[in-house]
Amino acid sequence: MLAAGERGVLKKPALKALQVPAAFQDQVLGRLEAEGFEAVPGGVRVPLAHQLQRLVQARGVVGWPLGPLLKGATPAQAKAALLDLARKGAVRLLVRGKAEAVAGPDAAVLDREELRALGQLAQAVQKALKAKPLPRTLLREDVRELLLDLVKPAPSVTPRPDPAALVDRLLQEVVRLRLPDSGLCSVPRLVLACLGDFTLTRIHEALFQAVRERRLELRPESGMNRLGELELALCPAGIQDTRLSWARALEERP
Amino acid sequence: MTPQPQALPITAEPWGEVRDLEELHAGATGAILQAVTILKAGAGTPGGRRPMPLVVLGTAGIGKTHLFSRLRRRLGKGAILVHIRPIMSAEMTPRYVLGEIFRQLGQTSGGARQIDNLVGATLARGWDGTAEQADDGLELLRALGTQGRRENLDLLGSRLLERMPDLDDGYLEPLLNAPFMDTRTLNAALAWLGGRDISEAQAGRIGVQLPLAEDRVLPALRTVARLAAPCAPLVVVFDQLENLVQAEGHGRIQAYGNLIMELVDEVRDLVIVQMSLDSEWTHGIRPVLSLTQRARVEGSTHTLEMPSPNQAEQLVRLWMTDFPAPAAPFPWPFQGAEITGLAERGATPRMLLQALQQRLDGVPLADDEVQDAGDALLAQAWEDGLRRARAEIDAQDAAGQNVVPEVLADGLIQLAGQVPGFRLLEARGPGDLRLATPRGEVRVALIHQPRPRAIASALGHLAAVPGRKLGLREFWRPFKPTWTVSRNNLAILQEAGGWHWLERGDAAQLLALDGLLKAAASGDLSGPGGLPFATAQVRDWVQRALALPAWGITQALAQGGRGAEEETASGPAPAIAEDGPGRTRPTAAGRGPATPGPRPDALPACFALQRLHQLRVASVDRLLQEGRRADPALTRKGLLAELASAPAGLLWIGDHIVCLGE
Repeated sequence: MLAAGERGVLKKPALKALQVPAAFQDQVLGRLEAEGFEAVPGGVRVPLAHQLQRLVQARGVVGWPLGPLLKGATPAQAKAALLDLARKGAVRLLVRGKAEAVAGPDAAVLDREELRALGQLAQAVQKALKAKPLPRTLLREDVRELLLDLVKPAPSVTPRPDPAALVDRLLQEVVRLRLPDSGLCSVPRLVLACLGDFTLTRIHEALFQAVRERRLELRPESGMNRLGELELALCPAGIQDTRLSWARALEERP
Repeated sequence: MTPQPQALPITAEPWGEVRDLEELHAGATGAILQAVTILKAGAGTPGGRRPMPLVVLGTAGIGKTHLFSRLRRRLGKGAILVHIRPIMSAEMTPRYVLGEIFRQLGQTSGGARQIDNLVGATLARGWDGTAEQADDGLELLRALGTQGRRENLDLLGSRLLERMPDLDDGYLEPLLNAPFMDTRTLNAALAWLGGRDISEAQAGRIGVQLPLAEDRVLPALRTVARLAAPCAPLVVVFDQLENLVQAEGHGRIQAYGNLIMELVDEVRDLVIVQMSLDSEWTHGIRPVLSLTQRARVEGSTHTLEMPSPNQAEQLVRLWMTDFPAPAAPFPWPFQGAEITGLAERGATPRMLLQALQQRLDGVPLADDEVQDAGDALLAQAWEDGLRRARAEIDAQDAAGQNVVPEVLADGLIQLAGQVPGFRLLEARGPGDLRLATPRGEVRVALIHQPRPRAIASALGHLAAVPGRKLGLREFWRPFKPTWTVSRNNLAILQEAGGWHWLERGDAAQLLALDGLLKAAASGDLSGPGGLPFATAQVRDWVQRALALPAWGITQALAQGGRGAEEETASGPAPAIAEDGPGRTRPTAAGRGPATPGPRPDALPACFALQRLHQLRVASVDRLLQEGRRADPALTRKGLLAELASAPAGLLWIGDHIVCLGE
């Protein structure tokens, strides 16, 4: 299992190297197939759908062709698996310039309406360029308005959370990210974990709110120049410009 | 200006007395006290439970070193407390730990010397009494005559060996006798028991032939720990462990891990507390330890908590009890919810204390005053460090001991790190440092040994090293006239310019420099705003204020120790070296310390000779002592220069007694 999971594909020669007797190799492959691995000639592979999802999860956006990135699959099999996943909404198919790519289901992409609006813009651009006897142009403000509508965060995608929810989220992250021995959580890591959804200022405000509620403790950095400029910038300022670089969840205290 | 409630300590002092808020760091304190209880309970039984080492983490100024003071108060005579800071010049070994244990057994805890606590409790237990009867046992034996005491101690030793056959018999006897020795014998005994080298005279005083052999160090540690465990367990506190982190490599950290493994596996009966800055432990120390080491080192980890707003208020109230007449009710000198605000923005106890002092001082410092105030604080810390270093040197000297060589070597390493053109290349212990200097590499050896044979060997070894080398030794520990081999080897080194006698002032400066820079690295030096000084700030001040290149030892490192090539190029060493800081005059074998050039600010040239005319025979120490009454800046070098300038008729007996001839 481990070997197959790590390599993506496991064939009989590899079983031999793992000292599985020849008489048992078919039996082993059969058991792996029964556990969900997909059969390939002479072996098994990690299911293509699973490989694809892991790939997208790890890289965010993956360019085509995908064949070399998937183990134990022909290009046709890879394409079929990809289309199957796209139909189920598990991945998004993208066009990036002249290339095609794949992204995860949560990627910020344009919906059909927005694409249509862009299509109309593209038609207008073509019309302006090809106009006779003289080319036309577009009002800068019209284009800006259209593009701004497209790039602004949609309310449905990033709802503005209430402060209490942010504090709860921070505490959850502190528990998740804390070091098992000391119970301390690195504030730069904590901030980065939430920065996709909240602004830095709001995260810092919420950290201090958690301190006031005695749910969290913020501690000044004491290392010997261990934090870079970026990490220091992610830490809230303490008194006299110290940087509070460690957080710790508090038990009930006076 | 309003009077201050107390003199604000700029550095943490483990043996000092401080105001204490018990509620703060109660968890870590409880864990250590519980470890002591577990050890006491389990010590009497072969398979009894032993506590695993504790790690105590916290940011600078949170109160780690303060915790040691609290333990002293809470445990009193119920434990033997030892405070150890890492060294840079050598790896920390069981011998170093043993040495520190016995160096600190002379410290007072619970109103008595720790050595008395240890032996008293052992006596009480040996006679089936309780730990509370420790003083009674000591008093009883002190009241007996020598013979009666010896018989009782022999009997006690036998009973202890019956119960604990793995104790080191030869080590046990001087240990049990220690509290009943006169001061000089006790000093010799503590040094020998601590694994330190002692002079022949000291060895004769306690009836031993040789220093403690290497293979006896761990059994010795085990013996002390086992004796102490049932009544007053050894609590060894390693503080400022962040100083183990070095840019050059991880050797010191790994050696520390090995040391803890030996203490846990071989010694067992002791409580180990390890204190470090949280960031440095997490990023610099823990990742370097192997899994095996971590399994021993990290028994349990305790992160010291920041003071809550409520605790911050209690701390301020506590400190204000020293203030006789506050101008207004609490929270004066703070306003409204100011203390709460400070606590919520991550103020450590030290920052709070400094903020209190600022409020009491009244006027906040302007930006341009902050630099001056910082400089003044550092200058104060430097003076305090110098004073402590001088006292330490005097105390060690009075006890017939040298300055701890590892600490002195650390001072040299710190010096090399601060002077442009110098840097440490390699440190293999006080006897083998490789430094880069503007004139090339120099091998430096502290000749700290007390015995002539060991000295001769160390000098011979140094003399045989190719290239530039420099031997160093404290001036007040000269070679006796009968140590001919040592003196011959010394003469060879002196001829090559490879020798420098360290004055007390030199040694005190090195110790103070080491203490200051280690405290800076640990964030233990508070600046004007209560924040720890950045290490770079302290280094900057050191370079601006201390004129390190002009120190005698720096000059000696820079100029001394000509290599063979330089000798060939410049001809043989001059018969009398030119005057100047750090230069030593090559002398014939048997003449002792080199005579330096005259001091421009020395007493009138006639002082020593006038006094000698009166006394006829005098020691250099006496002349120095009397001369310093008139001129506190008088140095031994200056005095010797004056004596050397006498027209004729002075006779020397050794290096220390001078007579006026006919």
